[in-house]
Amino acid sequence: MIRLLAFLLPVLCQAAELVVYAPETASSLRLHRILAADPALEGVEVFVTSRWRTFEDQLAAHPTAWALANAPLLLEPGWSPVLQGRRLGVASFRYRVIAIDASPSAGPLSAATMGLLQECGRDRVDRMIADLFPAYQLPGRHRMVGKPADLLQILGLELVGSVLVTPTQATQAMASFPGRVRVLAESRPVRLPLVAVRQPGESPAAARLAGLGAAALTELGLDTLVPFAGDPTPWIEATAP
Amino acid sequence: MRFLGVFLLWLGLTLGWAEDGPLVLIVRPDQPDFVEGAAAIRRELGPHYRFETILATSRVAGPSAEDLAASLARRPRLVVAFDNPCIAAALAATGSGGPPVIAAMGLNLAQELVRGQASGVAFEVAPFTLVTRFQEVSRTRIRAVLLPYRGTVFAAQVEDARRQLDRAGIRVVARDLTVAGDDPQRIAWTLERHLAEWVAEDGIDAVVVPSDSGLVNRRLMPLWTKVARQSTKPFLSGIGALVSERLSFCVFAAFPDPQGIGTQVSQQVAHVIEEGGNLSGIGIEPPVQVMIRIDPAQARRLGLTFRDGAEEGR
Repeated sequence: MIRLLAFLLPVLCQAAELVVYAPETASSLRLHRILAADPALEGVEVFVTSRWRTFEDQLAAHPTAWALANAPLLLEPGWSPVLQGRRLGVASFRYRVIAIDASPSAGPLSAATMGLLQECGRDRVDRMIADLFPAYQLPGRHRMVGKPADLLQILGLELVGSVLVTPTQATQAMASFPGRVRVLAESRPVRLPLVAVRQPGESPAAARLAGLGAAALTELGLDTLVPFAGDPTPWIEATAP
Repeated sequence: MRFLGVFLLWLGLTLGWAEDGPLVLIVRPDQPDFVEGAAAIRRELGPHYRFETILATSRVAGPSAEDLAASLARRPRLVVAFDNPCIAAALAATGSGGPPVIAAMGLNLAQELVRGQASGVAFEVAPFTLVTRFQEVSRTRIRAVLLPYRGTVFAAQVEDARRQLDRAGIRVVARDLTVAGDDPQRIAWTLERHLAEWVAEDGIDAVVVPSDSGLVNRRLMPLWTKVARQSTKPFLSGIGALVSERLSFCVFAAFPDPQGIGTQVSQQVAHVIEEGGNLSGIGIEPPVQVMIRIDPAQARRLGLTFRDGAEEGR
């Protein structure tokens, strides 16, 4: 009996867990501190990472954890979105393909390669790019990096001819390469980060995270998290830009 | 039917594929950095690949020729070699008809390897990475950097640095120490005579200390440290060991991250094996992911403040 209790107690008393993927945060440590101190997450164990690989590892290590991340993974089968992030009144953003100076259409292998942040498996990248940019012919070879800062490095080191970036990263690129950045394409609108759980139905995650304070939301780059409603597809509009 | 089975087995072995995927041979020394780099390759490429490792017989030698020949007889699809002796041994053993070789964590790979003979990742951090990472973590605007170099060896790398940093709005003031010839005595004499005045020039915001033993060596180290300590400009290095309070020399280093190099190598492996790419299309890439190190005493002396959590790490 004691053995059974010893086994069951940790399971029954297991705290709720939240794994956050925040590639654009200036400091994962700072974001973690803010989230952990937020009264809405009292008693919730929070993990924050800016690296996709670590995010996947954390999700595997915590199979009941809730997740707060950008849309593609959390709209995969097995996940139930419960909250949608919004910023400035909208729930989406558009990726941009940027290059320095010229259009990377011809030349060496590096020029015909597009760099992007690793946010899905290599086998899914082609489909993601085709979905994002149905109206454009973009480089067919992709090179993935582990963190946003590396995107500007591979662009600056001429290892790729263009990179796929968020609006924030595009602004950083414009500051890093003053007067040299060209926007080659803009994607269909993509959902901002959302909260999802792995067990469908009632979840305390929605109630908890909907009450996040302003400091935490600002650090996440959001204004609010609202109940998820709508067709669980990655892209909000079906029209090409 | 039996013949068909034997044929399929032979075909599988010939193509280097077995039931668990392509075989990659890793040739490396048994040192922590190389272990970390190899672990990153395995992790990135995942369970669809098979790996075999051959270790160098000592810190300064490659693997035994017998071990290498035995492993190559199992027909790996590709060989990854770390460190110059292992790279040289792998290239010699594979020859022109053998599997492609990807080289990494060796010095001067761009000079050592004939283009197309192997691809890989250099161990030297590019000046673009060094200067832009310093700019980013110190929140200092750099407009021009001094870069002393040996033109007889590093002209192409300096040209790359000039072009890449120009796109970031940073001017490279490169000083070739081999204009009057590449005799080491003459190079040392030129550097001793001119380094302080080059560093002091108006408009120079930082100094890139070259990762070149021809310019930074036992004889010239006292000169470098003396000039750095007297200067109000930051000295930046691609070698972590040149940043320490004891040395009191460079304020900032961005140096290769073994994990990052492993990741970069794995991308090249995937490109060759999964996309049918060839080595000449890849070439020798500079490392993308680096680790950084800061000397707080030098930073205080120079009035630099660094981003939170940027003292040491990736």
